[in-house]
Amino acid sequence: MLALTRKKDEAIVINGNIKIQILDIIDGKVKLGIEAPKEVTIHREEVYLEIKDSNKGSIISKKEMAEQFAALIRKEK
Amino acid sequence: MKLETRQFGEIEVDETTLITFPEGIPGFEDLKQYTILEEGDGVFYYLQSIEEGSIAFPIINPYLIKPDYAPSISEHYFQKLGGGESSEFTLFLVTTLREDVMASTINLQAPLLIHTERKRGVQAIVEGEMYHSKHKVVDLLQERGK
Repeated sequence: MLALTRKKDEAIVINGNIKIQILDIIDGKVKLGIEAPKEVTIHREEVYLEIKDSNKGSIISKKEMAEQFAALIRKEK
Repeated sequence: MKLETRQFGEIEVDETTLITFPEGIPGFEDLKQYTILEEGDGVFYYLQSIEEGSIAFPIINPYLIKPDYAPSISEHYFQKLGGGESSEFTLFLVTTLREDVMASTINLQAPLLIHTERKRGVQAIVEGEMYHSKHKVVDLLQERGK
């Protein structure tokens, strides 16, 4: 991993089109400002990992469970 | 085309129904081609991978279970699919089914956004506190009943 030291208001540039700037540093928290092309998706890592885990747990294992689920939604409608 | 799936055996897939997720979905970045299979009477669907027959995600129409579902989806997700009016897009929610069906969960935080005509999709991640990735179906049904 590349490690760079930056001060408040300094920035790094990735690939010439993504800029990440240190906006503020307060109480051990760093506030980042990110400028990137709109096709670039940016997430907090823990949020992304949670969605990834959720998707992995979602792969259907038994068709019967889906049928039960559908019946439940229908019944309660 | 024919597709061998784990859940549904060999199925015939109409190639005009294929949906491309250019970036895949989180955890499955390499799988980009899907089709949507309908289960029964439109309550329930599967997002079936074309590239990997054993992978299918159970998905539902959000409004069936959460009539007031209103995620604020960042504009950049719409742009990834070529942009357009919100009426041109369809939303689905990914569900995680459990043996105890009431304990099944629904991911309200990361809806699938699909441009209906262009047949392109993305899994959006919604910022904010309102929706998370594991809403219990029992809670949602209770809320809906109110």
